[in-house]
Amino acid sequence: MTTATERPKASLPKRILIVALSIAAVIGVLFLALIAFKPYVFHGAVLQSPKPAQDFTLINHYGQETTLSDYQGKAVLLYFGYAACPDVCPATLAEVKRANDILKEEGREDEMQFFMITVDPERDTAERIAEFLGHFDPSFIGLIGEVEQVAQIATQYGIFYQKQDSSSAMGYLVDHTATVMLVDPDGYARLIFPYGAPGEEIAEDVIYILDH
Amino acid sequence: MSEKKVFKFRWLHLLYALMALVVLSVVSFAVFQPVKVLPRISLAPGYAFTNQDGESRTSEDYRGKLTLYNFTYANCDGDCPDTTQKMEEIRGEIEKSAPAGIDYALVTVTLDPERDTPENLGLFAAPYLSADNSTVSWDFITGDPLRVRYMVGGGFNLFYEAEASPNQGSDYEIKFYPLFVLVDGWGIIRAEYPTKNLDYEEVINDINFLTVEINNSDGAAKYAYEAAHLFRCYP
Repeated sequence: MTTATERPKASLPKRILIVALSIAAVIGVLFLALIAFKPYVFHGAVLQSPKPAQDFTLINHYGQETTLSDYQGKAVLLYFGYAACPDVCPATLAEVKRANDILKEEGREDEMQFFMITVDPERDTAERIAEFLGHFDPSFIGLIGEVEQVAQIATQYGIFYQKQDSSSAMGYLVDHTATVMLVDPDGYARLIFPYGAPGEEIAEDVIYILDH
Repeated sequence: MSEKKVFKFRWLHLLYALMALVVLSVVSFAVFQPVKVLPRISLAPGYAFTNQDGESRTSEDYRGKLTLYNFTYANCDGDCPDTTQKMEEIRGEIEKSAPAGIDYALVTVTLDPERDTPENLGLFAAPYLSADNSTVSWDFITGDPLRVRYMVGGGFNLFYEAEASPNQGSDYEIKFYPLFVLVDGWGIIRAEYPTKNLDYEEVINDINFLTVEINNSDGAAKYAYEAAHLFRCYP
């Protein structure tokens, strides 16, 4: 009868094979764990504010009051631009539209809302904003407010803007910060996308925020 | 006599060991915090003001720079917690000790924009900028009083108000608590120092944390830094 103490020893090549397989398994599992547990790295710059984003109420381009906190439960993309913006705003809105299209492809477009707050409240009427946003996506909403109201909101969202004289037939231009901010479904400002952020990256971050 | 038990290798044991290793690694990271980061507190406010030379200065001018803000006003004297002298010391220390390859800036914001015109700020700033060959830029900024209030009160959460002055020759004085704020190149507030006697070593340490994080913001190292933010490995 063979007892445990009398268990025959494995041959040397077999023992080497077991050790080698064990090392390979450890490395393999650690590698998989690294992939599985690695933190998601956002494309946008991350904010960890302990306070919710400043709430505000403005008039949308349909003439209705719109309050930011009413959109809790959705990922909100906030952008400060204006209807006569010749290049920066259209380029940014094209990327946001691309992000929106990606969410549409996944049937999740209702989980994201894009707002453009005008930094040209003296010229931007509801009609002008509607016409401008109409070039991009019907779900985009433009927001209009009083001059001081917009100034206060923009300041708190880290947005600078000022008029610049221009020889353009369109009149003056408005220099402004061209970032897009993501407010998460709980109402916290979470990400800032720089000018030029691709729509694919915006969509990827939005989907991650929605799923976590 | 009982039979001696002999450990038998099972693949399941290896799996348990690996799971324990992963859990131990995560817990160790959270407890021992081998990587420390400064919190991303909130967005610094956006603004468009004027500096002591009458030049435009906006929040965008400081994008990509580590910027230290302080708040005071030209008539700040007596018990007034003026921190401008401290900014000058910190500026010298940044030049001496802060890591190279990063742009640094100092910004002093007036809390008395009604009286502190760019000209008055120029006079106030002159002693600090007289022999100015520093690589660390320093702007003293002023603007529309309401916009300054949006920026300082709303953006930096610093309360200030004018009160009748007991001093002769001055109508009013501004009551405020001293505050320094460190803002990163993204325009995100990374540290706040609500003190008049800020230890420059504290600022230099925080700048070091930020520069190490900036230098490790690419490649595999960024995962460690994101994990540090996730586990709130704050100094």
